[in-house]
Parts: sequence; structure tokens; C-alpha cells
Amino acid sequence: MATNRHLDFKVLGRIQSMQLLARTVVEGFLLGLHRSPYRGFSVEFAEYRQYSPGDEIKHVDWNVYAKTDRYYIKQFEEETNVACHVLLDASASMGYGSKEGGYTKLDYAARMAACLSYFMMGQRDAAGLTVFDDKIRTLLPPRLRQSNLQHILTELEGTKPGGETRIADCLHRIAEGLKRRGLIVLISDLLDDPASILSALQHFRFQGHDVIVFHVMDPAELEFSFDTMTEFTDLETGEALLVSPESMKTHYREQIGRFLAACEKGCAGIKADYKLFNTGTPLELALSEYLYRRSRMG
Amino acid sequence: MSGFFVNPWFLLGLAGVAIPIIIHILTRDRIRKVAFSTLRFFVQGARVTLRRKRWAEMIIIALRVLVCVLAALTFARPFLRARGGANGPSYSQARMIVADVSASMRRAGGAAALAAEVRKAADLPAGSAVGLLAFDHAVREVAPLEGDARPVLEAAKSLTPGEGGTDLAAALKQANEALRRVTSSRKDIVVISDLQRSGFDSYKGDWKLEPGVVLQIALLASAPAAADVGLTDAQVPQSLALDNQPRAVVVRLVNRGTNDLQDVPIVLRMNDRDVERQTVRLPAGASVPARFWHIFDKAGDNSAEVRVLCDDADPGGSRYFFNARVLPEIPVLVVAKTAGGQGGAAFFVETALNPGTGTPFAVKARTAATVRPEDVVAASVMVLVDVATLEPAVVAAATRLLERGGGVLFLPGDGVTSEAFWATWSAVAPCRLKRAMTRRSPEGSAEGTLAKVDQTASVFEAFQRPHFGDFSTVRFARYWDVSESQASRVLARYDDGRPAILERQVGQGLCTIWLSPPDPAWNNLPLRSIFLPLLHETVRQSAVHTEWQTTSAVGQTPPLPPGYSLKESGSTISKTAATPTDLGPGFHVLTNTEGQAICLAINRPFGEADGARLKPEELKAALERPTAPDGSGAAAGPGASNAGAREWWWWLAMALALLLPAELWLANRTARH
Repeated sequence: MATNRHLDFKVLGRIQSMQLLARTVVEGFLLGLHRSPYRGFSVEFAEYRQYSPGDEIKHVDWNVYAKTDRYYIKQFEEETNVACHVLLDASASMGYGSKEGGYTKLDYAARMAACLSYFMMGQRDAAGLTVFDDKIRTLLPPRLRQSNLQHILTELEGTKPGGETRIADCLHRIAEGLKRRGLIVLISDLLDDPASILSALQHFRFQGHDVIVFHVMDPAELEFSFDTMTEFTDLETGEALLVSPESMKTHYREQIGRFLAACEKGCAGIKADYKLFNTGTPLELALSEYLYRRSRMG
Repeated sequence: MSGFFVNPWFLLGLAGVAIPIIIHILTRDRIRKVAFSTLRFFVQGARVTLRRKRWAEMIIIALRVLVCVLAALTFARPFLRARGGANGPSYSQARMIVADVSASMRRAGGAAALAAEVRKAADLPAGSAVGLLAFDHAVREVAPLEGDARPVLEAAKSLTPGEGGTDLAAALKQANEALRRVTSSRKDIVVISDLQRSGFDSYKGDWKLEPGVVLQIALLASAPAAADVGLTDAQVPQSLALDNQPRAVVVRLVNRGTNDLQDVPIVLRMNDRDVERQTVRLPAGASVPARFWHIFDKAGDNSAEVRVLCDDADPGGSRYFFNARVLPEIPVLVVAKTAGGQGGAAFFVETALNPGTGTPFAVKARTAATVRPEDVVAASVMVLVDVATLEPAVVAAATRLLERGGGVLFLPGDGVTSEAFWATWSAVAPCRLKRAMTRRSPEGSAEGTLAKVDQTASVFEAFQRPHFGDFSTVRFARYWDVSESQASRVLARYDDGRPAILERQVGQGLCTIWLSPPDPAWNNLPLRSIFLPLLHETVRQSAVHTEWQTTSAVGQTPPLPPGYSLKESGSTISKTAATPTDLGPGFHVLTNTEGQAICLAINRPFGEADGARLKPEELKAALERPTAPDGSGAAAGPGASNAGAREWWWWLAMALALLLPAELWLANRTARH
């Protein structure tokens, strides 16, 4: 696991060192807004320790006493029982990255998914992963086992961009397959019809899921920092268009601003948490800033 | 090419058109290919803006290329015509002789001297071309510019100074045009003239001779005589009313000789008989006026002449003809607010205009309600006494009366409101009435007076003589304060500086307003002796504007009345004339189909008596251009090309000046988007 390219231990370490992490360990760091209704329903063995006066007699493992003639206390770790579904958009548009040799949006999104899964597993929440483009490519249901994290990380490792973006269709299909309410984390560039995406997210909300949208955009997409005559090719459709960026910049910025505003406003309208991630911003900073903000909300 | 450009080397600058193209190629947008996440945000606007940008870039390149071309052409200074006339005949030498046949040449040797100078100037080697122009106030081509000199020599015999004025500038311009039509390495103009300075007054400095054309002056000027008397100015009445008042006839005499003259006799002749005679003293080189006072008591045309009876006088330049046209009566329409009662302004006006027998006015009185447009048409002058509002048709007729030269006199009183007056008469009124002011002293006596009278106005001409009117006795208790009088002439002012009498020229006529009507409630003017002559003069001056000009000068087209034509020439100098411009000095009769006749007096232009002379160097400096060092005939300095080319040069420079900011604006605008 240490060699997995999507797990940035530096990121994890920085997040773990933050004060807010203590809170998320107890309640699930993604549960800042609501507590799990199933807390204490199940326990998992953690370790043995020697009995000391004051410990409750009922926690003494009598089988061990029979074998070793010593008193050992059986310790359990508490867990929250939230099923977290990470939905990763792997359409062709997510393969865009303005810096040569740098992150594509999909790289950024995959690392984000890996980090989230790791934390979910670390706090005893079940984490699952769904990768989709115009169809659902991979569906790993939420499991509590450590082996599930390995599967998730392996899947993320092999995810390549491709296919057109049909977020709404995929989300509807995923929503129909979920039986138990939990946390939905959508990581995408949302380059689809905002109204249909919001409709699909509304589907999740209707089922009682908590929805978080991580909107991943490249700096070039936000700033349109091109200056010479450029022939742009659509990564999904292959359509090419010759554009004079100098004369186009104002128009583009107006359009993208309008799009982002529509996404944010739409998410707020369905009470989904929305966060725009600029891939030019280091992931640990963006993620920790978001978690901190979310914890304060809780 | 040098024949078409003053500075052909600047055409190398045309290579500069490559500079903007090269810059464009080097700096044009390199097309970079980028795989982008989506085109959805600019797929609509991109095509439009790209197409617009490409058009703008093409226009900018075209502008820059054009700027380079224009700059090169401007500095190269193109001739649009080949020098010397590419299609004209070619001669080794071309010469235009310009002979002055104005009246002043009579004193400069006359026909013999002219012919001698022409023969001398026409003596050119074989292969040369020579032409002859004669000029006075008009220019005539006597012999065209051609290789045969015989027509010139033949025409020289008939050159005789006439009675016309001098227009040397026009003659030189025409000679220059004639030379332009031929090709020659040597071109010159020989001017045979006395170089009277007044003959060059029409030159405004807007043209010069062709480059390389040389100006030669054959100055014909007789040595100053011991005595030489002429007339240089005259002020005479042309149209006047029959009023038995003396009128001034003023002439100015000049002695161009070297000796003082004592008791030079001058006579005023009227209808072929001497009516007044006087003598003046004329020092050498001096100019003195002589004034006759004469009562023009014969209605109709009065053929008059002022003649200097002196042996030393120039026969043609010492006579001045004029026709004093005396109107037997002036139809005056007096419009009052109501039928004239005793003591009102209308009463005083009607009484003053028609005091009894011998009045020059035929007065027709109407009220504002009864006046008709036909009444206005039949009148020469319309007097509005305390009237502001009239029928629109009457107002329109009054406006037409003014336009054809009649007069309208406003006498606004208590019956006039400023609003009604302005609403009706704003198009022709000399001013806008603001309010009627009351001027009274604490003792109750009226104290406003006329403080300033414009003595140069013809209305006050009769009052210039001693004991002919004292305006200081008039007291004004009330008068109108006015505004918007900028277009009018102030003939008199009150002692507080406000206008008292205003006059405005409307069309050919005069519109006058007295800002205090002749009403005892307003002033004591109608009770003063000044009232009647002032009113008569005002009406008379307004009326005589309807008359036609009866005196003119040779070469000046007099404005003939419609329907009139020249019947006969009764002049003692010029017996025949085909058109009015050909009329010589003397009297000429114009008649219409109804048998009515007008006598028109024509005189030699006063400029011909002017003794001032141009120096030949002045004329050459004003008109000649320097020749280019390469002998091409093109001048090297600014303004070197011919007039047409110079116009083109200005157009090129102007286009360049306009294109530069246009390119700057477009380039800036394109870069910003």
C-alpha cells in the first residue's frame, strides 16, 4: 500500500496532525453534520491487556484465563457504521491537465478518492468506489474490510480517462442500486448539463444520502490563460476549433463563471455540499481546508 | 519618372510596403494545438471573433501598406501631368505676350507704345511659339500661342487702350495656362503694362506660375507730367425722393503731376447744362474733395456729370457720370391700431407724412382690421403705428415688401405687447421688445434724451448741416427696453445707453423701429421741429432702397431690372455695346416692353486713376518659382509643383494624416480583444 501512487502519505500525515482529526476519528470525519444512528451496534476486537483492578469483570476473557491462568481484558474499538460511496468521474474530459507532466484532473480526483477511502477505512467506515464515464466502469460496494481498501486503491491505480461524460445517467443508476443510506462523494468536473446532474443528485438526497460534490477543475479551465492562436480539440467529442484566445478570453470567463455559479447554486438548492478544487492547488491544502471548514460546521 | 515626381528618389520608400507584411508574418499568431476538456464555453463566440479578428488584421495590414505608399508618394511629390504638356506641341521656346489695354495705358504711351513693345517681344528665333493676350478688366486672346508670329504682329496694330479697368492677375493666369499646354524648354511671359498696383488686387496668392516659366516685364510708364488731374472717387445720390432738399455730390480729385495747380475748375452738369461751378486748389501729388449741393427738383432720371475743366486733365479720367433718379412720390401705407384720433401717434404720423401740398409721399391710411395684402404690395414703405398683430397674409406681404427692397417702420406704443409683437414679427423685427420703461425725474419732468446719434447713417444725412436739427430738445418719458438686437444697426441711443432707433437689413429692404412712438404720452418728439424731417428721412431712405442702381463702372455688370434691355447708347465716348459689361463710359438707356426707360450711367473705374505702381521685382517674386537644379523645371522647395499637383500633394498628405490615427485606433482595438 505504501507504494500506491495515489496515496500521498505526506498528505495523510498533515491531515492526521491537525486538531480536527481527533474529532473525525470519533464521529467520522465526514460526519461533521450528523452523527451515525448505529453507533455501538457492533464492535471489533482490538487487543488484549492485563487485568487491573477496577476493570469490569465481564470484559475478562475466560478462555485465555483457562489456557494461561492469567486475567486478560479483551479490548474493542468503537466504529461508526457509515457507508461512504466515492463516485469518480473518469470521462475523457477528466484527462485534461494544463501542465505537461503534471496532474490531470483524473489524477487529482483519484488521489482525492484514495485519501478519502483511506480515512473512511481508518475510522471504521465502509468505503466503496464507483468509477464511471458514460457508463459505470467499476462498482466496489462499501465494505469494512481492510482488503476492500486495497481493492479500491488498485482500481484507482488502473483508472484511465475515456468515454463521454454522462454523469446524470450513471448517478441515477447508482442511486437505484443503493439500499442503505450513507454518504455520497461525487468527484467530477461536472462537464455535463448542470440541470440533469442536479436532478441525479436530488435522487440521492431523496433516498436520504448525504451528498458531497467535489468539483475538480484545471487552472487553465478556470483562467483560460492562453495567449496565442490555438486550435482546441474537445477531449470527448474530438471536435476541433480554431480560437483567438485574446478575443475569446472575456467571453469564456463569463461562460465558465456562469457555469460554476450554476453548479454551486444548484448544489446549495438541494442541500448538497459543494467544493470547487483547483488542481493547481496542492491536494492536501485543499482537502484539509475543506475538512476543517466542514468540521466547524458540525 | 523625374518628369512626374519632384523627388523621385523618395519612391524607393515604396519598398517599405514590405515592412508591415514582414512584421505581420513574423509576429502572426502561431497556431498551437491543445486538447481541451470541452469546447462548450466558446463554441458559439469563437468563430465570430476569430473571423472578426482576421478581417481586422487584414485591414490593418492594408492600412499600413497604404500608409507606406502614401508616405512615399507624398515625399516624392507627383505631377499628375507631364511638365510642359505631354500631349501638346513642342517648341524650342514658348512666349506669351500680355498686353495691358486698360484706360490707364492711355497715359503710358498709348497704342503706339503697345504695338512697339509687342513687336519687340514677338521677335523670336525660328521654332519658337508666341501668343498674345490683351487685358483690361477682362482678358482676351488676341493671337493664340503657336509657331507663327505673324498673327501676333498683325494683332499688335489694333491694340488700343480702352476705358476698362485692370486685372493683371487674371491675364497672367490665363497666359500661364496657355504655356502649360505646350512643351518647351524655355517658357516666358512678357508683360507690357504700366503695372498699376490696383490691377493686381485680385491676386490672392493662391497660385503661381508653372515651374520654370520666366516673367519678363516691359514697363510702359510715361514720365510724370507737370500736371495730371483725374477723379479718384465720387459719392452721388442715385435714388432720392422729390423733396426739394439739397443733396451732396462729392468727388475727389488727384493731381498726379509735379506742379501745384491753382483754381482748377470743376463743373456739375445736369441734363446737359451746367448747374454749378467751383474751383479747387490741387497741390502736386495731393488728393482733395469737391462738394456740390444741388436740389434735384425734376422727377425721374437726371443725367448728371461732374467734369474737371482743365487742360491738364486726363480726358477720360476727369469726368464722372451719374443718374440721380428722383421719385415723384413714395407710396406709404400707414397702419394704425384704430382709426386715427386726434393727438395719438397715428395722427402725428399721418399728419407729418401728408402735411399739405408738395409732399413726396402718397399716404394711404388703414387700420389693423382693414388692411389688406394688396395695400402692402402697392406701397414702398409700411408704417405700423402701435400695431403688433396683423393678419398672416398681411405679415407675409410685409416680409415680401422688405425682401424686394421696401421699408417697414415700427412705432410700438401702448397698444403693443412684447409677446404679440415678437410672435408676429420675429422674422424681420430689428429687436425683441422687453418692457416699456418710464423715465421721470423726481420733479416729474421727462428727462430721457437722445445722447448718441450715428451721423454716418443716411437717415441723419440731412441733419449734418448747421442749424438743421437739434435732437437735444427731445425728451423721452417712456421707451421700450429691448433685447436680441445683435443683427441690427443702432442709429441712435438714449442717454442711458439703451437703443432708441434700430435698423435691420432684411432682404433688400430696411426694417426700422423707433422705440418711443411719436406720442405725447411717451415723448415730446411730435411737438418738436425735428420730428417731421426725421420721419420723412426715415421713410424716404426706406423707400429708395426699392430703386435700381443707376450708376456703375466699365466692366461691372449692373443689376438690370427684370424686363429691361439696353435700347441705345447715348454716350459721348462709347456709342455701341452688345452687353451691359461692354458698356463704355457715358449714359445708356434701358427700356422695358411697356416703354418705361431707365438711364444707366457708366464710368471709367476709379482704379485707373490710381498712380501707385508695382515694382517688376515684386511681381516676379510673387509669381515665379525657382527652377530645379537638374534643369527639369521642377522646383525644389515646398509648393514646387503646379497648382493641380499641389492640390494632389495636399490630398495625399491629408489622407496620410487620416490613415495614421485610423491604423492606430484599429490596431489598438484589435489588440485589446
